[in-house]
Amino acid sequence: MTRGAASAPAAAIARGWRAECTRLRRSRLDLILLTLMPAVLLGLMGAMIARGSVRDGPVVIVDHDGGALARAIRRTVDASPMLSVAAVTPDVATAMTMVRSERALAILVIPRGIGLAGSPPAEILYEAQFLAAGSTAQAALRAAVTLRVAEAAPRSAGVDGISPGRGPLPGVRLTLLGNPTASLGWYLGLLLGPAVIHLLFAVSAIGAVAPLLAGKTFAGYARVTVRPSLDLVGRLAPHVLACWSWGTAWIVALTLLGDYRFVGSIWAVAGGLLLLALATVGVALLLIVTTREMATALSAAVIITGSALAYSGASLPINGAPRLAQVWSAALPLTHYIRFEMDALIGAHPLPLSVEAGALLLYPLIAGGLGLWLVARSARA
Amino acid sequence: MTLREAFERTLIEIATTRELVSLAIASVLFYAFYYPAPYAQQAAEGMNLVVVDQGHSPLGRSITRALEASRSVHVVGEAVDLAAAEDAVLDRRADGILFLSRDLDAIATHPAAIRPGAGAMLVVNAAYAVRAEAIALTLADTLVDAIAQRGKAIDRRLPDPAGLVRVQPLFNTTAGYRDYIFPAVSNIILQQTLLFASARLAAERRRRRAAFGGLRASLGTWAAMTLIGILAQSFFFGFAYWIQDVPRAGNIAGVVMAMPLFAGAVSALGLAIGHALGDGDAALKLLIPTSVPLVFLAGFAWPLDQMPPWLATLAWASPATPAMHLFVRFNQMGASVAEAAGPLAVMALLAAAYGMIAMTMLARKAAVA
Repeated sequence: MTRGAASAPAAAIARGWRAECTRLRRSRLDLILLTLMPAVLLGLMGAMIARGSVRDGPVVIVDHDGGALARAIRRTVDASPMLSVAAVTPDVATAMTMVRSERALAILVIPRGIGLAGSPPAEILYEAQFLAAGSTAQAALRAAVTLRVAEAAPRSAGVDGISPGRGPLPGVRLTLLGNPTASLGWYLGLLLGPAVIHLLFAVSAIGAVAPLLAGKTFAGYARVTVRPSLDLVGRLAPHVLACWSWGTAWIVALTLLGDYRFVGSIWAVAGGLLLLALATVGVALLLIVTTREMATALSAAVIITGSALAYSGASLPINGAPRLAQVWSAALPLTHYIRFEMDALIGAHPLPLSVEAGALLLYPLIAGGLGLWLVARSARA
Repeated sequence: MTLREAFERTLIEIATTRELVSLAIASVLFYAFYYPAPYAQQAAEGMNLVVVDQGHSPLGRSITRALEASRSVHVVGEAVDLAAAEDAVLDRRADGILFLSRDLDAIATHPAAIRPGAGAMLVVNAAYAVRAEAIALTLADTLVDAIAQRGKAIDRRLPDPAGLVRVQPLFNTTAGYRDYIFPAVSNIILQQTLLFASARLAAERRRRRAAFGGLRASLGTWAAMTLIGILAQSFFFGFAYWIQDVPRAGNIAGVVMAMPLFAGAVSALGLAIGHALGDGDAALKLLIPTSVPLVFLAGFAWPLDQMPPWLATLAWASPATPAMHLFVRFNQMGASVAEAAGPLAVMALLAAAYGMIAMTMLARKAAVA
C-alpha cells in the first residue's frame, strides 16, 4: 500500500492484518507455526503429564533381617501408591546396579535386628541425579518406613503407653495452597504451556517481520507503507491472537481435563496470557529490528525466551542465585507471567497481581514501542 | 570431491560463516555458563515463613528458633491469627504459614490423645512445588527433632524418631539442584546447537545450489559436523563440568565411547532436516520451538516410564533422550557399559538410521542437482 491511501489508524492496522494473513496463506511453514506446531507441542506436553502424579516409582529392598517387622515394612512400601517394589535382594551391589541402570529410584536397606533397642537405622539410598523422581520416591519410602518403625520402636523400648499411634508426627497437618494433591503434573503444566508458547510465538513473530527487511534495512518497507508502525501492529496481531488463544486453550484444558481448580480467577490468568502474548511479540519485534537478520534474531530469541523457564524462579527460587542471574531473571517477561499466574492460582490480593501485570505491560510498551519507532524512523534513513 | 576435501571444506565453511560459528561454537560456550547460573545456589534458600504461635510454649519457641537457624526457611514475622498470616501469603510477603496451637506440647507428651486441631499446621503455596517441598522438609526435620527432644525429657527410653531412618542421596550427594538440572539439560543444549548448525549448513548449501555431490562428500560433511559435536561435548563434559564442580568422570571410557554416536546421530538428523527444507531460516524456525518440549520429553523432570508408552517411544527418537540416560549414567553415576546398554544401543541405532537417511538424501539430491 502506497502513501496517499486512506490512513486512518484502524485502516492501517487492518491493512497490516490482511497483509499478514495473505503471507500466512502463502507460507505453509509460517502457518504451521501458528496452527499445527502449537497443537502438536502442547499436545505432547499434555500427554506427558496426563497421569497427573508420578506413581509406582520402582524401589529395591535389601532385607538383612527378614523378620516380622521387616515383612511389615515391605508390605507397607508395596502398598504405597507412590511406590512399587521392583526387587528384594540380599546384597546392596545388586541394588546399586538396578539404580545405575535406572530400574530403581531408591534402595531401602533393612538392617538385621530392626526395631530392637540399639539396632542400626533403616537406610534409604535414593537416586539424586534424577532428583525429581528420586526425591519423590525417597519421601514416600521414608514415610512408609518411618511409620512402621516408629510404631514398633516404643514397644521394643518398653514404653507402649506413649506410642505415637497415628505415626511419627501426630498432630501435624499440611495444607497445600494452589496444588492440594501435590500434583507434579499440575505444577509442570502451569509452567510448560506458557514456556512453549513464549518461545514458539517469538519465533513466529520474528518470521512475520523479517520478510520486510531488504538489504538489512526496513527503510524500503517504511517508505512505501502508510503508517508503517500501525501496519506492523496489524501484521503482528495474528501472532498475539494465536499466542493468547493457544495459551488460554492450554490452561482451560489443564483445568478441565486434569480436574484442577484455580482458587483465584481463571479470567485473570487469561488476561495475564494476553499480556504475555503482547510481551512475547514486542520483544520479538525489537530483536528483529535491532539485529536486522533473522538467524541472529532467532538465536537471541532462544536466549531470551527459550531459557526463560530456568530463570523464572518457578522451580528453584532465584533469590540465592548470583546477582546477575537475579537481575536477568527480573528482566525476562516469563518471570513476571509465572509470578502472575501462580499468584492468580491461589487467589492473591490485587496488589501483587497488579505489580506483575504492570511489569508485563512494559514489554510491549517499551520493547515493542521502540521496535515500532525504529522501523518508522528507518523511512528517513 | 573426496571425503577429506569435503571434511576440510565443511570445517572452513563453519569457521567463516558467522551464523554457523554462532550456532555451533559461540552458543555452546555461552550456554555452558548461562544455563546453570540460576541454579548456582543448588538449594532453595530463605523461603519466607510467617508463624502463628498461640501458646508460646517451650516446644513452639524451640521449633521457631530451629527454623530461623535453617538455610532454607526465613521466619519473616509472627501473625496474631491465621487470617493475618493468610494475608501475608496472599500479599506475597510470605511463602507459607506455620500455625502452632495452644496445646502444642501434647504432640510430644500425649500424641495418642491429642484433640482435633491441636498441634502444628503448615500452610504452603504448593503451586511452587520445589519451594513447598523445601519448606515442608525443613519443618518436618525440625518438628521431628524438637518433638524427640521434648519426648526424651519425659521418658528417656523413648526412641529418637530422627534416628529410625537414615537417608542418603546417591551420585549427586548434596542433592543439589544445579547438579541435577545441568548434566541432564546439557544434552539438550548440545543436541539443539548442533542440530541447528547442521540443518542450517545443509539448508543453505541446497538453497545456494552448493551442495557437495556424491556419497563420499556427504560422508565428509557428516564427519566434520560430528567432529564439531564431539568437541562441544568434550568442552561441556570436561571443562564446563570441572569449572562448575558438577559430579563427573564416573566412567570416562563410557563417555568417550558414546560421544561420537551422539554427535553422529544429531548431525545426521540436522543435515537431513536442513536438506529437506532447503532454507536455513526455515530450518531454524521449525527446529527452535521444539527445544522446550524436547527437554521435558527426555525424562529428567517427568520420568519416561510415567509417560504413555507411545510417547516414551517417540521421545527416544530424539537423540538427546538416550544421550541424557547415557551420559548421566556414565558421567555422574559411574555406570558400566552393561548398566547403560539400553540407551547405548538406542543411540547406536539412531546414529545408523539418521546417518543412512541423511547420506541417502544428500548424495541422491546432489546427484539430481
